[in-house]
Amino acid sequence: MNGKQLACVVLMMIIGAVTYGAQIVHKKAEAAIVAANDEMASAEAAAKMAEIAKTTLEFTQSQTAELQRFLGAWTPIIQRMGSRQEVESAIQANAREKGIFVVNQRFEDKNNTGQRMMPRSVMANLIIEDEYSKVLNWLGDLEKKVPLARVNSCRLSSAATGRQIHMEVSMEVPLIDLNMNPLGVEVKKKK
Amino acid sequence: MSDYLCHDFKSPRADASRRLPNSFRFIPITFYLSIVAGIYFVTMDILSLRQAEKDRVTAEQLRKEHEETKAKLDSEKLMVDIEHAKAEHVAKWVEGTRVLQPICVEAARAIRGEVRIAELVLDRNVELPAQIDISMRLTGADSSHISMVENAFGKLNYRPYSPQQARTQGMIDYRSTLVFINE
Repeated sequence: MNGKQLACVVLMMIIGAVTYGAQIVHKKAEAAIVAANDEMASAEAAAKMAEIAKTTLEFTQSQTAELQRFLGAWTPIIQRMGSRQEVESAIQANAREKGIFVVNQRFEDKNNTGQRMMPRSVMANLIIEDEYSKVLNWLGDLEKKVPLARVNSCRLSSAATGRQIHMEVSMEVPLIDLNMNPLGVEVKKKK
Repeated sequence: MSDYLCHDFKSPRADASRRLPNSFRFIPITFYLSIVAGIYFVTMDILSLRQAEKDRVTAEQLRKEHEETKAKLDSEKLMVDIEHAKAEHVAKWVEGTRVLQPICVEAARAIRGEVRIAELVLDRNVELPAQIDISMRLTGADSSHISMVENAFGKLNYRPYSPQQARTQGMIDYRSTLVFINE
């Protein structure tokens, strides 16, 4: 191989190297453009998801607004009846206030298995003998002042004397834990 | 200057090596063109690469922002769902705490004359707390009095379901299930 031929080979090698280098850079640029386009598509998808989440939240808020207001109205009542002592004193205070004759009263704890929000209830069993109007006024007042009380059973019959009636009433007052999450899913705390 | 020297200087000289074919002239031209084109394309590609990198970073930042917004909204929705579930639990309980005193009062008011209520029992249904099983023993009553009592329950939006009456020695035993009708 003479010098001219060698020069041609060298030139052709340089041409090849330049072309190869340009191709590598071009491929890198293409890959970067594809990656940028993919990222932009991901950003757009994320924006759409965020928009959907916002719409869903607004829809849920509007759908649950009434129940939220309901819970807001009942929260102070629930907080007033947070323990067995509070339930007992509320019922006893009502009986004292109305001045009715309580023959017997019994309070028991009841475990509500599987109920996360209402793990315990207070069962109140009362036997009352007094005038008809006083007894029924007491019952009405109790149901009004302890609105969480569910009267499970109420038995009215004549008492020993003509004007008096005998009432056996059994009621359940749940101790509602509003801090408990009824769905059982973990809520991430905001930092 | 001698003629010999002059002749020697001008005389055609044999090539040191054999001439290359004419087509090989394109090799240097191609070389220059490739250098120029290479510089142009590489420059353009590098500019594109930088711009693409910048776009990718911007898009990534945007994506992260949107994802954070979505996570925040999802968290808010979860809180709303939890509050909703709590409210549903409370509402379900409250639905079963419908007051019994008006039923007793209305039953007593509906009875007139010599008729007396010997016993009145109200039992809330365990499975369906909104329903109340009523059992009543009336002395000196007839069917018309039972109708009056049922009408009285109707005023409280309670409908007697499957009422039963049994008459024994001047007494009527009345049983039914009171179902509250939401109007």
